Amino acid sequence: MNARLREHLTSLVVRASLIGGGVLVLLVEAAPRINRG
Amino acid sequence: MGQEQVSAVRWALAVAGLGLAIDQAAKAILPTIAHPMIDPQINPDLALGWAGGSSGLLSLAMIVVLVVVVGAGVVGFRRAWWPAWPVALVASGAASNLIDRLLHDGVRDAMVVGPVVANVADILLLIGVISWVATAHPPMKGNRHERQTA
Repeated sequence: MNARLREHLTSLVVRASLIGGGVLVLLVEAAPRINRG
Repeated sequence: MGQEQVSAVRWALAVAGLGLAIDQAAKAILPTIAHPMIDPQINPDLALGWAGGSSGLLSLAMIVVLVVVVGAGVVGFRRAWWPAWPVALVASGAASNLIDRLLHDGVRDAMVVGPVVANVADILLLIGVISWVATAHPPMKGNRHERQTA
């Protein structure tokens, strides 16, 4: 695989993982309490 | 680890400690203040149903998330993919809410924010996650040595 393409793919995967992980963190750490007022 | 990274880690640890201390202090002080935007409560509730209704399970999930966040944060920081301080913000918020759940059987909330009651740790978590994604520069060529990691 082209090295430059691999770098871009790796970057994309890391960013996607970060966003997914961030949403998961907020879901676990904060959202569990969102259903009360 | 270079001197620059050591310095960044020290700052991150200070940020984490400060964040945790501020949140715990706020959770202790806010309930003593009478204000329309302050509604103190210990919240053991689970939402979305996915946690199975078990407080122990959610505590375990929070511990796992904290360990994974710190682990991934350290790995990425050492590779200069992101700075250390967003990791510290997320870790401090997560740790503070986890401490609450372990010591108080629920998270102490007091700040009325729209339809929910939140705390300082939630804000630290939100800012941490957003800034982590915003400041990340995953492994593009040259990142390792060119980026400032403070």
